[in-house]
Parts: sequence; C-alpha cells; structure tokens
Amino acid sequence: MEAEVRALRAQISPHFIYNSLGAIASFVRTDPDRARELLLEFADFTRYSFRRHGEYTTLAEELRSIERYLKLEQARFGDRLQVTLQIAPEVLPVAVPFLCIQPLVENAVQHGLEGSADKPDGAGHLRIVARDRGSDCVIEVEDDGAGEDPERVRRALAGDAAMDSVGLGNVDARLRNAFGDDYGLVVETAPGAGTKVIVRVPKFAPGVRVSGGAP
Amino acid sequence: MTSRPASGKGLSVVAIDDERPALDELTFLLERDPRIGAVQGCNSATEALRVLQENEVDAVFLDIQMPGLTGLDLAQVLSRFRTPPAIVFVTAHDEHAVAAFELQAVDYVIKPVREERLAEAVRRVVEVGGAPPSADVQIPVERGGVTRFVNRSDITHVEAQGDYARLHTTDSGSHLVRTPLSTLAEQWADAGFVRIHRSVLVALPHVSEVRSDSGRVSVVVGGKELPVSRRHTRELRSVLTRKQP
Repeated sequence: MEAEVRALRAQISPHFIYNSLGAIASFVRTDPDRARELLLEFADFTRYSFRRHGEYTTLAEELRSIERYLKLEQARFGDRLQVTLQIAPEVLPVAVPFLCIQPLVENAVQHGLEGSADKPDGAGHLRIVARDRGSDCVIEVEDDGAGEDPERVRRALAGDAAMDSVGLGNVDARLRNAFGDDYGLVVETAPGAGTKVIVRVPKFAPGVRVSGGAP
Repeated sequence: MTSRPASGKGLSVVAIDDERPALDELTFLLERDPRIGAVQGCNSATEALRVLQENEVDAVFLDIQMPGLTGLDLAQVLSRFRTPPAIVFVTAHDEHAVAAFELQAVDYVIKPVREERLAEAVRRVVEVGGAPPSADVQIPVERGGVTRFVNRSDITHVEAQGDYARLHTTDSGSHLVRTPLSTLAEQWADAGFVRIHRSVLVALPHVSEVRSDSGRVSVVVGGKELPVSRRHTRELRSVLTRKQP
C-alpha cells in the first residue's frame, strides 16, 4: 500500500503548483494580505500532501487540506468555481486512507471548470458532503461538469492505464484494501449529467488506526 | 510571420489568460515594458478573437489551457490571418512547447513569469517584426506626484541606485525611475545602451570620447567622464568596433 500512497503523492499536479504560485505572485502586488494568506495555505497544503508517514488520517485532516486546496483554486478562478461543503461534525474523527478524497476533489474541480463556460452563471459547481449513516460514514464529491460514459469510468476503476484518471483507480484500490471489497468507490455519471463519486467508510474498522500525527 | 508596428507609440499587444490574477500580472508586466504602447487584456480566447478582428495587433501573449477555445486553437486560427500577429505562449505547461513552435510561436514563456524573461520575448517579437516599433520611446518619470516623460534618446547614461535607476539627460537633468538597472540594461540593449560598470549604463550615441590611460578605460558622455570597469572593457570595445561604419 505504501507504494500506492507514494504514487499518489508524486501526482500533485505541477500545473497546480506553478499556477498557484503565479496567482500569489500577482496578489503580492494587488493584495499583499491575500498573497500572504494564500502562501501560508499553499505551505500547509503541500506539507500535508508530502507527509511521509501514516497510511490513515482523520476525515477532519483530509477535509482541512481540501479546504486549503479549494481556497487556492478559488483564488485562481474566482467566481467560476462555486463550492458547497456540508459536513456532519460527528464523522470528522473517522479514520480514512490518507489522500483518499483529495484526488476526487481535484477531478471534480477540473470537470466543473471545463463545463463552466456553458453554464448560465459561468460557474462550475462543486459539492462535498459527509454524512453519518449508521455504522458507516458516507462522503460524496459531486460536480455539474460534462459527465462521462459509465463504461470509461468502469475501466478507470479497473485500473486501465489508458484511462486518464489514475487517481480514481488508486483511491478505489486503497479503500478496498483497507475495508474490503464492499467499500469500493461508487461513481454515478453519464454524458451531460455531471459526476458524483461516493466514498463509504466504516466508522470503526479493525486494524485501521490514525498514526500519521497532525501536521 | 509578420508583425506590424501599429504606430509610433510602441507595440500593440493582447494578453490572454482565463485566470484573473495571472492576467493582471501579465498585463502589468507588459505595460511596464517601454517597447509596448498598448496592452489589452482578455480572459478567453473567444474574447481575444473579437479584439483581434477589430484591431491592429502586433503580438499576442497567451495561456494554453483555457476552457472552450484553447491557446493552441487560437494560435491556429491566427495563423490564417492575412497578417498574423506574433505569438508568445505564456503557460505553466511546458509539455506543449513542441506544438507551440510548430505553430511558429515566437517564444514560449513559463509561468510564473519573470520580468526579464518576458522582456526577452518582447525583444524577439520586435526582431521578427523587423524595425523597432518606434525610433524613440518616452519614459515616464515621477517627481513629487507628477509624472513627466523623458525621451529615451535624450538619456546619456543611467546609474543604479539600489533597486532604482537614475536617468541622466542631455540637459544635465536627472530622474529616478523604479526599475532596476539590470532590467533597463536588458530592455534597452537594442537602443544602444551598454553596461560600462556594474552600476552604470551608457547610451552609445552620446559617447563623445573613449579614453585609455595605462589600461584604465573611461568614456566621456554628456561632458562627464565615467570609468569603465575592467570586466566591461572588452564588451564595450567589441560593441564600439561593431558600430564603426
């Protein structure tokens, strides 16, 4: 499993890094306070993503890092990226595989932005929901982008390297490895219908402990 | 590839980026370049196309990855213009460099953008456009909240003052500008400005004498004698001999 986490860590998009730094360079002149704030968000985001130990993290930590990521993306794209977060506080301590939601959010941001030009308000909409469902915690990442052929998604989940979405297959494999095959990713999508990715994790699983330590 | 000097007032350029902060920065840096007269910012390739159809534009500075029409798409469309503007890609995506040059881009600048690197891109734009956009350039100088303009051709030499530079003019005046000497050295190289010292730039057309006294070289410019550092002597010599008719 460590190898998979390493692979994902190495996947932090260089485009994201250089475009974020470019945006910050611009704010240094136009809005120095914001530049400072974004620079610190950038530092904390990369610190979390480059973390060297711990296969698991808490949902709270993962979501905090996602919020930083989204703040940086919103600095770049402004009103073209609309985000709603809806998180049930009781699931925040749940242990989840490290970087298991982040890649899904990156995909959703990309889908949402690609479709933004065709929307009446010119924006892509992104919704992240975490719910308490009995013995499980359910996390949904949804965008209103172009959607995709379900067959292509199936192949991406099966780890087909020809598919562009390495993140999806990687996350799916790590969830199954941690919690069993009942806990694979569920993807609801169709051309023109946006994409919703559903992650289900047990609130308590034997052998799953957060050991990474807070960044 | 042709590019037209739009008027006597420097290059007319269009900057295109879908990310607001990136566009702000690019526009800001381009406007600071004395060789550029007018900059129009667009946040999509479609908007840029409209501007380009209605205006004479010498060069476009454009991002590649944009929703809808990408930078590469736009470059392709522009290549079919009767007199296409020079194209400079400005992008974080170095993997498109080959495609960009196939579209005969003049340059490919990586984000985040360095001012010196952008100045080099402008130099290449000027080069492919043939003659420099104008024989003279007006340099804005500020004093006591008032902005005045100095003709570059009236500047005899420039001295570094920290991050600022002091422009000395033929009328023995001097003006402080908020541009580092290194930037001016690069941007004004085509106008005959040469480094003679780490902190001094002289305008060759104003050099009236070159003196050499037991290996120590100096130049006389605007009636003033300025020492040439050992390091810059050779460079000055080669430039001067090249200038001889």
